Amino acid sequence: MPPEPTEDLARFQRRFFALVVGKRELPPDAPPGVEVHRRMYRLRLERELAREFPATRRWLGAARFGRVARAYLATHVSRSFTLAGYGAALPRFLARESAAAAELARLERELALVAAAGPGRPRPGRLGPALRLSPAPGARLVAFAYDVERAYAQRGAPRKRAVRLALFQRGGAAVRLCIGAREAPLLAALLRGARLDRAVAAASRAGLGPARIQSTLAGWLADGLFAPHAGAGANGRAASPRRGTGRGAAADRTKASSSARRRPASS
Amino acid sequence: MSFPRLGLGLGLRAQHAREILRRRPPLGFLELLTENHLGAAPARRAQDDALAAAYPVVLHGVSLDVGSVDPLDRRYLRAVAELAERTRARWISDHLCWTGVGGRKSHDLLPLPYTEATLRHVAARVREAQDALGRPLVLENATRYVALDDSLAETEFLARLCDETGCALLVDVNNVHVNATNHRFDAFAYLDALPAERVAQLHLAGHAEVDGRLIDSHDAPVAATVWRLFEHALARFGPVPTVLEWDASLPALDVLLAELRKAEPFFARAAEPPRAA
Repeated sequence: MPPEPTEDLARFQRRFFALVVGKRELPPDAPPGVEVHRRMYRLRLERELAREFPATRRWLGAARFGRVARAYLATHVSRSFTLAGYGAALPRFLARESAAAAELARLERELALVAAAGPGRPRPGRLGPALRLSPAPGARLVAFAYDVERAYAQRGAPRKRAVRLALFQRGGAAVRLCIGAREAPLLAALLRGARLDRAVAAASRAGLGPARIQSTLAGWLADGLFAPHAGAGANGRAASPRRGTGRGAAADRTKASSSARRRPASS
Repeated sequence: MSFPRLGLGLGLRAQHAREILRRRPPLGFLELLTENHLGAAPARRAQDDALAAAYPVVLHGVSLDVGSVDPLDRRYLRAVAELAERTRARWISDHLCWTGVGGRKSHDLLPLPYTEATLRHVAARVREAQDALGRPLVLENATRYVALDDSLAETEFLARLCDETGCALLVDVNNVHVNATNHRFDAFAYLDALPAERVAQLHLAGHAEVDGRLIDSHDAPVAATVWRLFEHALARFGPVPTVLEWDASLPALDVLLAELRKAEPFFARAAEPPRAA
């Protein structure tokens, strides 16, 4: 067991730390040079927030984002040995500044979590109605109150419009896929680990026709949102219709997925 | 523990990892920033594995917090040990400093007063960390921007720390120059006062001048005065493995490689056997 630290050293560290991270001006008796540590502390954390939220920073502008970042770090002292994830609370913090920016920051935070996700456990099961599909690492369905995809893809400011994105890992990067309102229950059920037949039943109740269900599932498999079953045989072929048979929301999926391929997001 | 002579290496930055794997430039080794690789995502882990297969790897951390009065973070130590095993790291280094207190972290390398009490405190923690990691630590002299009430010279502090714990030293030649300029001491005498047999590695980096003070900014080529110090360090310590660090305003990989190549003639001279009288 190491000896107890001396009270002198503990007192020195508590005072010095308060000077480095403190919000107030340095007192006149602060040791010369402490302002270097203070400046580096702020610069490092501001850079980390800019690294974690590049799209939010781009949309808000560097000056406005810088003001938000300084306000954030004045109230959020790191408690982790790693800087990664320092901005975990920024989306909620940003809500006071801009609801749209907060939603965009939430997308970036979710993408970072997806990129960091480990491989999921394959869901065992035989091909057939009782099959449970195995999602890609980090796969999740996230609803936003603003069209964050538009801002993330630099097509304009996020409009107030409910959107759902499937976020998942492909080739080591986090990718985004727009999900239509009627496809969302199907995806949510599959991500929860529901049996294929039950997920399909839920989708039917949500108003999705059999052809649309088939094309949607085929699209998700082709996009890598779900892993193809290792034993795919006759039944697997039956579940893989030609691409492009869907319309409406399915067309949204195709467009968004090709966009996601061009601009895979990674953290 | 002996530290292998790995030659000249580069401090790996994520922006260059893919290019290094593709081009495989001739490097003696790579220095990975420990915290950037802990618990990494699968893609990063695969990349780390590929890098470790292509080059010898050493780990360089900033979060050991060996000088803090907080308890050592056992979770961090376990993660570092796992990373070291996975990458077959030749050694693990960190800094003689503290970064936080009361569970709060500054992510900056904060200065320690060099006193007998601090030495006892740090030595106990170095031993604890070494036990957890199962190997000796390599500790770097950090920059100090504040003059504290020291009762020991930094060189004496480092030498006694090595004697008491069996740890080794990473001498950052740029830090020596920055501290010597800011606190007005003789950088060459500082190097002469270090225990040569304990020096496992050297660092080279660039610095900046801000408001009349030198800052260890890692954003520029190595200064001429630092090259002279480096030559002196090699003459005294021998051709110990040396890493070029560059963080801010990171240039293209070729710029880094060219900067590192400037060290080659110094290194070659240090490696020559002494001439007979």
